[in-house]
Amino acid sequence: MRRRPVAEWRLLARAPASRAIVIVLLGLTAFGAFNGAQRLDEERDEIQAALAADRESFAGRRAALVELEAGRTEEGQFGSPRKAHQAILGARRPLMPSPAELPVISAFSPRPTPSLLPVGILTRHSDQQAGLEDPTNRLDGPFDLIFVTTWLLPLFALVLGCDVLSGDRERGRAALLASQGTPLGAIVISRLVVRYLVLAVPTALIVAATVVVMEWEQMPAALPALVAWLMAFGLYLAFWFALAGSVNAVARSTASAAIFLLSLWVAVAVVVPSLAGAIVSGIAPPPDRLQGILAFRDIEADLNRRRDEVTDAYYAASPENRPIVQGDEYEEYFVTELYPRQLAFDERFAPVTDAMEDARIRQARLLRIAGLASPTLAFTLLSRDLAGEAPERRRAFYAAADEYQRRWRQHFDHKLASMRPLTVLDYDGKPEFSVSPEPVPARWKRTVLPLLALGLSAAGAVFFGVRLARRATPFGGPLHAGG
Amino acid sequence: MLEAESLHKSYAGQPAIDDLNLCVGKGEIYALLGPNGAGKTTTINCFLGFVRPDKGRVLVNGNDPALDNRRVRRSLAYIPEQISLYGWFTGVENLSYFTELAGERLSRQRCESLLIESGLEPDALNKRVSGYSKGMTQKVGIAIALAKEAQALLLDEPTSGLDPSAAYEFSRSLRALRDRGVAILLATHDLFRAKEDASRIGIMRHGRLVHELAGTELGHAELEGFYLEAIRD
Repeated sequence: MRRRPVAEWRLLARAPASRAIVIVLLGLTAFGAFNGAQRLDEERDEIQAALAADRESFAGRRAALVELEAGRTEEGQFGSPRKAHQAILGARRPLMPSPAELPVISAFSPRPTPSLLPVGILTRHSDQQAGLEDPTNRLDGPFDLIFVTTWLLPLFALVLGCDVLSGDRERGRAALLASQGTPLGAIVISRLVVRYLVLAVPTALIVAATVVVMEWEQMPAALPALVAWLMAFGLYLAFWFALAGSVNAVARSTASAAIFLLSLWVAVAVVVPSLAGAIVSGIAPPPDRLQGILAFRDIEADLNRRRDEVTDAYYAASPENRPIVQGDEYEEYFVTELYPRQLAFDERFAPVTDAMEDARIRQARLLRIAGLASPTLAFTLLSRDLAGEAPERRRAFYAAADEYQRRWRQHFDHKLASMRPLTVLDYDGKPEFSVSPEPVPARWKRTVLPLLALGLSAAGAVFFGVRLARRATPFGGPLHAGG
Repeated sequence: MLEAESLHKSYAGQPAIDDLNLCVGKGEIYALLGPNGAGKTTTINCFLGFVRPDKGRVLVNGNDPALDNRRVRRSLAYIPEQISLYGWFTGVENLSYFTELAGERLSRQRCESLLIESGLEPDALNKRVSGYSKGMTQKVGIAIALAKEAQALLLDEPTSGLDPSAAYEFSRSLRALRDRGVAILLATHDLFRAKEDASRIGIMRHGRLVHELAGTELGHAELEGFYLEAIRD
């Protein structure tokens, strides 16, 4: 009994077609890993470059201010480090979300949660990424590990598993096999287990090695995510092999088994997720970008119309911020008009962007429930979440960015609006951005449902497959293509 | 060793076996003759436990395959009409694989000696089976039976498609197994080989055993005439 998998392994390893299938899959997996790693590497380089530029920019301004205060240089007309509206008004600081656990498994670009968000006094992060309105439109993607493991791997599993018994029936070998004393069901199961291991182990090793190499510095956070992903991957692959076992228990030829399994793949991986997406979009419509743009324009037009009223309201509420000097036309416009208007705009536009983020989160929650109907959907959602693409993460990042902007404004507001000169202390005390990772229970709550969906699908398919396999006969059942 | 008692089996109301009684003792070759659809293969499938009888029972060394399938199959060997092995395996590897399914683990030397004993040429042992002739694959089938040390051998038209010399060699292997005490039930259309090899011959028609005679009872020509008479409607 214990030796049977070894015998089945030898049988599989000597078959040229099986070797080719496994080699091709591993090549594709390695290519997917390379794409993800390259994308992540580029992203990290961009972040490092932006941070370095930010540091150098403020260090340069501070140094210029020191020189100016020491009387070693003279203040120019533009770019003065002493004038807040010149030094700070246009400055945008690069903010980064808390690191995702397994970003390397996705090469999706642009990321749904931006890896870098420039935030300054006059910015309002609105929805800049077209095509993100409806997450159900994003069920496929670039050639990365998610694509390989979610869509390609099941096909390879079905190709490798479609003839574990049907091929023997077709070639008249099933009766000879069954006459040896080992039940056909046991032969089918051991063959599928061997094939499962042949696909699962090298693929899991490639993914794990890629994650370890790319996430070495944040392994404490990446490791639980990697374990969760590997569990999900194992369940997902088990589901497909169990389907192959069920079909083999009854199919009389490889062709009929392959056609039936391919139809199941289309149903589970394509049709059900699309239907689920359509239903979810019906129940929880995606954020309407057009409405967002119209609201943006309405608010802007209204504030433009009432510009004096807005400026007066700002200075009435903050009399200490009244300008102490008469600025030129340029200064007057940016400081006493544009800045108060931007504050008023943000206050009115924030509920619109919040509603859009809420709509995305509602959709994502419903899609996770819909994952119960399709393991492909569940595995995609779980993988994308672990890659850092869940809307909850995006929302948390934007909330942190808003909070940072509030502190940034608070720090420079008085000097900017009153046109008082900046000091070295203003530069030294400028607030820095930090985002705390999501609380662990909230973070893992999102993973539970897709993992449960995968567990239920795999358990159901394995249970059904084992029952059918145990009843397998050398002659097969009703699935019969041709003669 | 092989017993069928009042065996009945129908498919969609059509009787495939109708009150069949037969017994094959140790060291005996029993040839089942009959036209296509006479019930020969169904009889063999009943002994293998692939088909469950509607009535009656079959016994292999006293065990009913319906009750203890695994034990019955371990004591049986079976060679189908079109024996198909794994083409990318050598003869030795095929033998090793099938005997592992039977719960045996043989050394390479043992596999080789069994295949040679079955009549396979030594230079063919480590060649891929995809290049074997039908006669050569039949010999691997015999080697599987030898390796299992089966007490009974069931053969379903084993010589169909074999050239006369290969059929002769195959018969020689069967007689060697018989001499070791193996009970052999052979379903065949080959009257000549049945007459040459079998100690008893049963003629089936419409699922019934219509005649049973000793192999030595008639000459070749008489057997043919008797057979044609027996299967005539």
